[in-house]
Amino acid sequence: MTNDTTSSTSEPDSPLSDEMAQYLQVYIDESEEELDGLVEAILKLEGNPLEDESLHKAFRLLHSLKGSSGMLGFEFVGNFAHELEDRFERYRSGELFLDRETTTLVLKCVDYFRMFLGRLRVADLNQGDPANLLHELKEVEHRRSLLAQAPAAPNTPIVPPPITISGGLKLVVRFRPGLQLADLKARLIVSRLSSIGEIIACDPPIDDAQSFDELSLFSLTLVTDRKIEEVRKIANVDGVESIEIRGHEVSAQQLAAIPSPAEPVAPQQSPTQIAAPVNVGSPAIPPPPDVSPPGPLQANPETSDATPQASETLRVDIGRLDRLMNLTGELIVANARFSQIATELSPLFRQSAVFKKSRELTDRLRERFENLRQSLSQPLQTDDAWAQVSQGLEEDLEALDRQSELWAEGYRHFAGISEAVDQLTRVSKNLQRGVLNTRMVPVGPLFNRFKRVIRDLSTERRKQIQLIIRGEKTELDKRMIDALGDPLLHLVRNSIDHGLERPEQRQTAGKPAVGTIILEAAHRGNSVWITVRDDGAGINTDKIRARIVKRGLASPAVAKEMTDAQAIGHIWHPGFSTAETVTEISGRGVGMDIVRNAISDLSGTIEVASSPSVGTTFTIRLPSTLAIIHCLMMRYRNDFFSIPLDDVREIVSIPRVQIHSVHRHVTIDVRGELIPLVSMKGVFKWATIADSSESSVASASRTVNIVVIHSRGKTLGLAVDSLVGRADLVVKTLAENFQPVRGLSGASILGDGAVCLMLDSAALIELAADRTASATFQ
Amino acid sequence: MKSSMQFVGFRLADQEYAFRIEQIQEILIPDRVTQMPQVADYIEGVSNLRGTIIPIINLRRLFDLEPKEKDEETRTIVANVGSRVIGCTVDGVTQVIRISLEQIQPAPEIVRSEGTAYIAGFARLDSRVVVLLEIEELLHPSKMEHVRRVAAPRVSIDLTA
Repeated sequence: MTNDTTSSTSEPDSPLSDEMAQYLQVYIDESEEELDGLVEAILKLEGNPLEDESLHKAFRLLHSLKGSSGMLGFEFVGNFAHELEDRFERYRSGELFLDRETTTLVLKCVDYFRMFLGRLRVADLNQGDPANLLHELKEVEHRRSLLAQAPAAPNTPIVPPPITISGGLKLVVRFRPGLQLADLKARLIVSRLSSIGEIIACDPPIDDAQSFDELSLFSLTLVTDRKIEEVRKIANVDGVESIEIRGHEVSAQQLAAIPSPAEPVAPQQSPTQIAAPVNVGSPAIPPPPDVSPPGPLQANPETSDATPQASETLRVDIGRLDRLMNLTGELIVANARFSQIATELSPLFRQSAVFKKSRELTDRLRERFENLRQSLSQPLQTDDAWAQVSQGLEEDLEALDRQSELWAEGYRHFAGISEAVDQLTRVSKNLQRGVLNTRMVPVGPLFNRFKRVIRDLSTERRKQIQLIIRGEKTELDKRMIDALGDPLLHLVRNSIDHGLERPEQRQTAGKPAVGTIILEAAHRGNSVWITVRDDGAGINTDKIRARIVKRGLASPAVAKEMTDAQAIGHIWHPGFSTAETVTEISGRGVGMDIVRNAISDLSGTIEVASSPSVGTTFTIRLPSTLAIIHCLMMRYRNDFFSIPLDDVREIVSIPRVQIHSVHRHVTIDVRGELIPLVSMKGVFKWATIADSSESSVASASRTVNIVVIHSRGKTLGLAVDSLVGRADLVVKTLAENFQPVRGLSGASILGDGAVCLMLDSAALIELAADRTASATFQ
Repeated sequence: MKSSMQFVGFRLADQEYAFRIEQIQEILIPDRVTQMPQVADYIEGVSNLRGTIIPIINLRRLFDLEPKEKDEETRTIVANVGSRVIGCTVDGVTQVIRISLEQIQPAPEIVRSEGTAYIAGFARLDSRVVVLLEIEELLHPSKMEHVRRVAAPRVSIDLTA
């Protein structure tokens, strides 16, 4: 099969014309980026609804979305973008307020756009109908204006002055002139007020963690059911000169009219945390005092979302990069073939003896011939026939001489070729590295998507959660980033649903009410590690044990005997779930095994560590690139096998007599540690090999070569016929033309054209466990 | 010319079979095959076809016939099965045959009822009968196990009887 066929089959069938499809691709990609930016801006505005920069950014992005959608004839989408743009214009002017409820709605609108783009990607031109969303938006605005204007004139859409519009109180707090650390005091006031209501605006943005050298006054809008005097008392701290409060007190009834009760929001974004802690609770139960945001003296606001430096970039279809990468892979294979040929040829030439000898041979031949001629010279001198023979021989010898010279010349050329091959190797390796680099993208945008997830889910689950993102600059192959979204989402949802406790529970346990989820990426050797960590309750092993018994995976006695780690290992079992109630978020009993499969598809592994009341950590280990894997090569029978170097703990050579059989389990003793041992023959089922006569070479020799593999915290010795050495292999999936095979993670083509199968360490360890388990039962 | 189709004929034991020519990518002298563990015995292993790794299916074993050593007649037929490229070894490739539609008979009722969707029909040529095979039903990885089951000797005996 040629490459062209592969690539052409990968193109989706599209009902669109080529030209249109081309524009569409750009439109989809750009729009998605715009939506990412929009969400970013909206989430920022949530902490500070009047922040000019974000309002402007949102406005600009919607404007651009409107324009491009209109241009491609997506009328509904364009009009809807226009409606939103219009609203942001009004948020900007202060005519409308972007309160929490509205924010949720606007985010839903973003979902509509995303859904549309998602459909578009698979060439579905259905624009859907955003009318419902628009209707909801209008309704909220309507209610807000009712609330603001008292029930008198519901039908007159008078633009009320911003001071009273939200039905809240507008406070202007004036400090004593020349007050030191006024910004700090302002923050304090904001945090105090946030415990009695929702702050929907603040000017200047106190939560922006900017320090103001001189802050003589600031204003904020507060929605609360408290009396004005009470509010004044709370806001009045040392250093405040005067507090001016305007607006209506809102009755509890009016507040209740708002479907989503004005939830107190911790107003300050702690700058080191990417997402603001979100307090959820009804206004009647004010959040506990320590919910107020961490230390006021936090440094700069996050810089990660600052608009990236305008470096010159080019948008390239990932399919093209894939093709390029495949071609580079083939180049590397072809190159390896050259190298191998050169290596094989080299001793042939380098043994200069070879052509020296041919030279010697010619000389000796010539000498003999000379002797012969002399000894026979007398009688045959006149013989024409002899003269002819003699001349012929002489000519032959000369020809032979020339051949020797040619050979010598050939050797010189070969040396040149050898050098050229070396150079080609260098260049193609660099080329490959370059191609791989073009596919590398930082994990930042992937991680940032979770800000929104945390925001939505924390509200839904009534938990207080902060998200901390680390290592967002770590780069991974684009394909991996794309494939990681769902597994990560599942893990984060799990943490929220099963891991993090409710604020009350956390406080009882002596933990901060705000739970933390950390998403972190880091390079470790050839791998990239991604961890999802929470400081929740940890995995409840009692529940797991109960579940194991209930699902018939083990008897109660066996389940009881299990170590915590063994019990926790069952979460990867298909359909295993410990959720007491099925929730919308997780607990449908699908998931962890799917997560694990998704990670394995990327040649990665996932491990879990959990300790009660400290939290749970999931560690995903991925190869830093999908394309090349550093491997150990070994031989079994006539075929080559490879195993990722990262999974190889060590290589040992052990005398046959030191292999013990302990209760039918074959083990070896490596520096006092007993390690189970399997052979290539024993661990796999080999249907094609009928002959047992040609048994392993290893069985004949006195020592056995053993590769000690470790994966997911387990160790296994694998006896092989011989070790070949290390190699960097381009790995292809077996599923492309066949189907996945348990125990194998792919295949590579070697320099001599042979196919080398790559072992899947984790699956191998499982297979070994299965084999011994079934053996003991027999 | 719609009234006839071209087929590539090949031999397995005493029977002649044929694939539609459009589904055949190429015919090769068997190359080096790397044996694969954890697969059924009719899968010989994987081979390198100019940089692409393809599985090699032994048709004799798939049809549960006596295994036979490879000889100079043995060929690997490389076929396109959906988006996959799959090779299969046969005793020998006979010829490209043009078969007119009138010569093709649907598989007899008794054979079809056995779930042998991989048999597209029979063609009577002179004195011989060629079994026309449907590659998608025969060599798709998810269908081979089924083929093996229904192709067990019982059916072959029915066919030869």
